Amino acid sequence: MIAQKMIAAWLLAFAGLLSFWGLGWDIQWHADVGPDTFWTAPHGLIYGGVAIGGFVSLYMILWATIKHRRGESGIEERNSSFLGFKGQMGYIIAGFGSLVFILGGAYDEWWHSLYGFDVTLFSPSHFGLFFSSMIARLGGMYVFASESNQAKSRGDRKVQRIANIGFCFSTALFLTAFSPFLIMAVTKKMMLGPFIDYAVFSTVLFSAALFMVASFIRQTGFVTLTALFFTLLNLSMHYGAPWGVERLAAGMGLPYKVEAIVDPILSTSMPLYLFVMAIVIDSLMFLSSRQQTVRLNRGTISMFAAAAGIIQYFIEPVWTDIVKMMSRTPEQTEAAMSQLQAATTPTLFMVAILAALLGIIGWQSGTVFRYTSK
Amino acid sequence: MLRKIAYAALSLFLLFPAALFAHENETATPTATTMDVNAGPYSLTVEFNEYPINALKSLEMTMTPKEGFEYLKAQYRLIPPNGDGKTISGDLNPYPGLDGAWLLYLQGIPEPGHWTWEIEVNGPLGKGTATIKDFEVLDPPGIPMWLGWLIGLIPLYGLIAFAGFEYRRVKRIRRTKSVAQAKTLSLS
Repeated sequence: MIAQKMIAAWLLAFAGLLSFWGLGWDIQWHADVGPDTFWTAPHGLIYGGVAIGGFVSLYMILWATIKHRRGESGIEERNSSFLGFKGQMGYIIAGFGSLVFILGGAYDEWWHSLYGFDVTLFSPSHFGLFFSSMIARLGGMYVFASESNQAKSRGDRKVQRIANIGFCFSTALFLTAFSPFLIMAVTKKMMLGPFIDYAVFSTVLFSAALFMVASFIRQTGFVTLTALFFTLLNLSMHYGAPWGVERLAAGMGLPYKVEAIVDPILSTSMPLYLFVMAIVIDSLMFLSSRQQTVRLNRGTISMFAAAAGIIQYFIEPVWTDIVKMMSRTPEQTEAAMSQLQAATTPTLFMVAILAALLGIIGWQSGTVFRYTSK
Repeated sequence: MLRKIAYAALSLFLLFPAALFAHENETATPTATTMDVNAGPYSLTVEFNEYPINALKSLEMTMTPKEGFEYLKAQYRLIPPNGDGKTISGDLNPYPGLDGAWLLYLQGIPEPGHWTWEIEVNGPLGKGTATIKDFEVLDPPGIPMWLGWLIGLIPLYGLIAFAGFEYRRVKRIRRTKSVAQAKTLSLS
């Protein structure tokens, strides 16, 4: 039974991976080739992934419900209740995410029929899809969290570790769901007053998420693992998106647009060296656990979080890459770069403050997963 | 039994999109309006994929000069009604796959009203401008934008509500735990 639960959990994660690949392929396709219609292969991959996730969730909920109705033991402690059904919270969330995503797809198709197939991320129907996919990926995180906690109470170290690894992978996938917002942070509104929008947004996101992982697992190495998974996902789209577009365009005999970007859009919008920030956070975990050199409290979390955020800010100015990639003329690039240059120092302070703050919030939010065994 | 049904349903569902996506979609956009204009010495045929067009709706415009396409460069200006507001302008680019024509894809004209097109062509015969007046732009289609956003953000409201739900759940657990701890301490 445990094997079945593990398979279902990883199948859900795989479904999320398919959707991620679909998204990267789709963004590239719309920017580089078109045609901009609904029934394209990248859309098929996105919705296929969502459908698989939905079916896995439905199956697991029905399975738990039927076992419970039959009076089998052990179902109550390992499953939540929802509208008369029994199921792990993660599958309920993920199932909902898939359902809302499919409905959102219908809304998106209707929206496009009204407004045309604009190559833009910023539309109400697209936002609906982005948030739906976040719900679906969050479900995956909850599934692995509950498997991990259940294994822990059984004393099953091996399954607990596999579930923790799954949690890290699911968190990396969850982070990718924010990537359209990362792109828009440069293309839609590059500056937030005197601050660089992307730097602010990414610091909030990654500081919170990485400390969430740290808080749940409380062992050294898993924050770095999450970041490594994130890097792998990035690399897969770095090569995969342009390749996928090239193959599909060749197969359909379609030319590239004159204004095609060609550079991998989704991959460029995601940091590649997130594991540097993660290592700083993991060093706090290391120093506070076995070594007992450092105490783990809000003060030390703030310090390490701020350090991690600042280091990430300097080693990887992703926003400049996005500007260079999306800019149409050298004058556009010039203008944007000088604006960004002027904002470097104020943004640095903002990054440090936000990293510290969100590190604490992330740590406290992560305790939710420690209390998730259903 | 349930397992068999689930597997069968899953396989059917996975086959369905494969059949659907096997059909390739056509790129052709039907032309709604064609007009012949003169940009000084140059004759152009201008086609729109839809006319009149709604505001905020994407518009495709194709311009085919009668001759000498390779030697010509063109720019466009779309002037708002009564000159109020920003003029949309840019270069006209060739489109691979379209022979001897420029394709313009506009993401959406911001306001309804009667706009004016100015197409400037530059070439061996000098510079010439074609003007298309009274280009009718209707009100934006469908539901008002704010309603569109209100509906579109429904999953976000769900996420926020869920965050609140989780916060209360953890608080409840912590309270129960500390009560239990206090009880054990008082008994010992």
